[in-house]
Amino acid sequence: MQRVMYFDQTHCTGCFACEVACKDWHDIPAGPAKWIWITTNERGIYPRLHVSFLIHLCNHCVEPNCAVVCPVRAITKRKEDGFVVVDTKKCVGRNVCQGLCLKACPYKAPQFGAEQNPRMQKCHFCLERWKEGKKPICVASCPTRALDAGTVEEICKKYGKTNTAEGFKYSSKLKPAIFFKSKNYKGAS
Amino acid sequence: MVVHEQFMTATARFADIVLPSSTLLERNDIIAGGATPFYGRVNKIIEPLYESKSHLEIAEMLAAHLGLSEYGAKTDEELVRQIADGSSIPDYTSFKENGIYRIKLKEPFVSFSDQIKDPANNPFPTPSGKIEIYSEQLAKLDDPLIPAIPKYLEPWEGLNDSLTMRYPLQLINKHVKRRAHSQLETLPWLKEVEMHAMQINTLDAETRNIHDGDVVKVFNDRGIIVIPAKVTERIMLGVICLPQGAWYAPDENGYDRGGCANTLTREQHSPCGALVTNSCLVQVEKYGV
Repeated sequence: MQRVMYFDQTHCTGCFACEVACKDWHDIPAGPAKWIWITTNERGIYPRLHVSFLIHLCNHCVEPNCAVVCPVRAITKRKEDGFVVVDTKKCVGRNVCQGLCLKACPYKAPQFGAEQNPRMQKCHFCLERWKEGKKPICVASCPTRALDAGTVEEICKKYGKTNTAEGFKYSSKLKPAIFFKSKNYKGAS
Repeated sequence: MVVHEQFMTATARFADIVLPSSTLLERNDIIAGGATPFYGRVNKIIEPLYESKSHLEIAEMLAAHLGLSEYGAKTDEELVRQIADGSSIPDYTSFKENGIYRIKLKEPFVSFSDQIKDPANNPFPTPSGKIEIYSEQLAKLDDPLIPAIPKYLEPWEGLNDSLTMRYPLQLINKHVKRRAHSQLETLPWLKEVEMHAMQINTLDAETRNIHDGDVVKVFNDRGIIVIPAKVTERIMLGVICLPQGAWYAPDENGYDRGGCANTLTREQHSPCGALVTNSCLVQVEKYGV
């Protein structure tokens, strides 16, 4: 099975609720490690503007390159739900392997804390919440319901199969497990 | 000067005495909704930490010193109970457990519903009994700054002020997503999601050789702020924005490093009493060159 994320770019207001809820839920201190974060894309000239937001997180790729390059096989893809998870006990740390997983990820999902030789950490799709029948905390926290999660079948049935959004590049090699509703720039006129 | 505070805020910095207030997690309280009809119960989770005390306890201790004997008879729990008993809350125990009681209205609340249903018998408290767009009462005041009918008034420190020769940029302060006024300003998780910065239009930045992220000086005769610049098309040419609610933090030169717009705004109210924080002229230049 493959569980996937859905992001409606037309609903996101860039409020950061997902970002803060994630850090709160997983007890991640303020600092460089972020499991989900938002960027803003501005286009046009005042007053004819276009602004869109994009979420960034581990896309739990169908073909996770990070798992392939990890020298100690600390990253694995789970068969039961498709989540790509890291075993922090196996991970030898960024200073030792030079952060090969990060270099292999076009989405910059592998994250590292401020500590010495940090072990890789990243979004694990709130796997413990699914056991209780709950969706990830970012989905639960979104005030505009711009986020959703479910199996590929569920999400595609509900929202279609759009796999790109403004600022996001779909990798046909990695096959990121995320679907979108894109907010498209219609020009400055 | 005495300040009653939870945090060392800009105001508390000026105090001779700070009375340390406990937080809402350290006291029992009750709140009432405004536009949404409900009562909320604030439940004490822990005892006040260190020397902090609840508002009630501080009031009681001060009252004792002032010889006011009627204070101190009831605990916060008893007072909350008393307020709840005098309200429409039907069951105090379940209110305390649930933390909230939603007031069920028979029909949606509509402002001025009496006047809408029967305007003849329900006049507004005005000379004409109507909502007055033109007011005779205000006309009698004969004050050019309080016109009888709403109209545009030329503001001080507006575009036509000769002060624009020295301070050509209009300063506005918008609300930002990551804090509620000055509240939550110091939380690291919220601080990191959005850097506090001054927004400036691309062209205004270009003519001043300012790039996105550069540290700039925002100033007028009232003060100086040193802050990073956010260069964007999302603000009009000739206007800059300092998000409101930032905490004043002067450095050794008296430059505010906290980016508090009050450092620059004028302490003058509109003729009808509103605080006018968006009528303020400033200049911006690159800092440290």
